[in-house]
Amino acid sequence: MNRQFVITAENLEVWTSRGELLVTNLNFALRKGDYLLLKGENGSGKSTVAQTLMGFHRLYSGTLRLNIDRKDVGYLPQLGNVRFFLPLTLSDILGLETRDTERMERALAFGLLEPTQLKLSWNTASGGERQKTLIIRALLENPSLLILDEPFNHLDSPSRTKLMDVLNSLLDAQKIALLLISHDGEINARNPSHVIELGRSL
Amino acid sequence: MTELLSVYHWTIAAGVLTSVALALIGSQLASRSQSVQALVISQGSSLGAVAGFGFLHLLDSSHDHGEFSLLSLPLAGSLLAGSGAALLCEKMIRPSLPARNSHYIALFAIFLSLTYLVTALVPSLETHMATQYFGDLAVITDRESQLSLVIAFIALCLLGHFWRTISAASFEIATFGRVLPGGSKPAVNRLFVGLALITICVSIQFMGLLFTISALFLVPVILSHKLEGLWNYTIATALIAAIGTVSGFILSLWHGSLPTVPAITLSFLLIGACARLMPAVNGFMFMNRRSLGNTGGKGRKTEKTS
Repeated sequence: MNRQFVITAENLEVWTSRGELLVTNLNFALRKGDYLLLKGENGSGKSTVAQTLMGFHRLYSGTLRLNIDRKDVGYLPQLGNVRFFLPLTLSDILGLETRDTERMERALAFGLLEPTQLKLSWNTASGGERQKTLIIRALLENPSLLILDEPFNHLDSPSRTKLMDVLNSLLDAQKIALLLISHDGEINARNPSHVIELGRSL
Repeated sequence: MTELLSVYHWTIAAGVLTSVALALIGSQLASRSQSVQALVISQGSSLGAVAGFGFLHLLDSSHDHGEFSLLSLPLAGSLLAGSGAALLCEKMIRPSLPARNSHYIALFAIFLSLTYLVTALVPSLETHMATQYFGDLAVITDRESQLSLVIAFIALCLLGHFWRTISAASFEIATFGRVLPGGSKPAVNRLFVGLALITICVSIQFMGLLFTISALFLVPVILSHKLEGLWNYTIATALIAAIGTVSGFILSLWHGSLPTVPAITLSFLLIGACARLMPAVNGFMFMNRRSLGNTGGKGRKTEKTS
C-alpha cells in the first residue's frame, strides 16, 4: 500500500542549524496526481521543508520516506538575483543542442518560452524568463515528484496561468506528484488535494 | 631564434596545453565563486612542493639525487598538500559561512607562513622557493615538460568531452548552492574537482605559482561579460591562453633579460585587451558555430525587436 506513495512524511520536525524547532508535526503522503500546497508566512520554514525533502537539510526528526529515486525529483528553489560568470544562454541552461531536436521540441511544447527567448543570455534575461527556464529545466527531466518553491515569483499573470495549465495537465495525466510552496493564497489553480499551513494542518 | 625554439619545443607545448587547461578550469572555478579556494589550494600545493625538496635535502644532503627523486618527491608533496588544503577548505569552511573569503585568506596566510618557515629551516631551499613562486619555463627539463604535457592533454580531453555537463554543474552550484541529483552531473562534477586539483598541483610544481594563478584567473576574466554563448567564450579563452603563452615565451627569449612567466602574464593581458578592443575580433568571436548558445553578436534589445 505504502509503495503507491511517491513520498510520505510522518511526524516530521525540522530544526534550524542553531537547534531551534522550526516546523513541527508535519504529516503528508503524496501519490502521482496529488497536489500539496504548502503555505505559511515568511520565515515559517517552507523553503527549509523543501530542502529537507531534497536531502539538503538534514536536521530533522520523524519519518521521511521517498519511494522513488532521488533523481526523479524535480526541484525549483527560490530564485535570487544571480548573475553567472560564464555567458550561458537560456538554451545552454536547458541543455539544448541543435542536434537534439526532440528535447528542444519538448522544451518549447510547455509554451512557457518562445524560441527567440532561448537565445537570450542568462545575465540579460528578465527574472520571469529565468524563472520559466528553471521550471522547464526541472520538467524536462520527467520528474515523478515536483517540488516548486515560490514558482510564481517574477511571473506575470499570463505566465502564471500558463504554468498552472502545464502543471494541471501533468497532474491530470498522473505523471507527477506536486508539492507547491507559496505564501500567495490566491493562486489561480485547481483545488489542491492537501493544504498545509505551517503550524496547522487543514 | 629558430634554434632556441627547437630546444624548447617540449616546454612550449607543455606551457600552451597547461595554460589552456588552467584557463578553462579557472573559468569554471570563477563561475562557482571558488577562486579564493583555488588560491589557498595553490599555496598549499607550493608548501608541499617546497617541503618535498626540503625532505630530499634532509635525507642526505651529500647524496646526488636522481632525476626521479627530484621529480617525484616534490610532486607527491605538492599533490598531498594541495589535496589537504582542498579538504580543509571543504570541511572547515561551510559555504553558508558569512565572509567566508576572509576564512580562506586566513588559511592562505597560514600556508604562506609555513612555506616560509620550511624554507628558513633548510636554507638551500631559497632557490626552490623562488622557482616555486615565480617559475621559469626556460629551466624546465624535458622530462618535466613531458609529464606536464600528458597531464594537461588528459585534462583537456576530459574537459572538452564533459564541458557542457561541467558548466551545468557550475551553474547549479552558483544558483542553487549545490549540484542537483540526476543524470551524470554529480559524477562528472567529482571528476572535474579531481582533475582541477591534479592540474593545479602539477602546474604549481613545474610552472610555478605565478604562471598557475595567471592562467587560472587572468585569462578567464579578460573576456568575461564580453561574449555571448558558452562555446564562443570557451574558444576565445583557450585562444588567449595559447597565443599568450607562445608569444610571451618568444618575447622572453628575444629579450634576454625578460623572465618567461611575467612576459607570458603580460601577453595574456595584451592579447586579451586587443580581443576586447578590436571590433573585427569581436565580430569573429560573436559568430555562432556550435550551438544555439549565441545571439549573433546582437544585444538583447536587438534580439527582441528583430
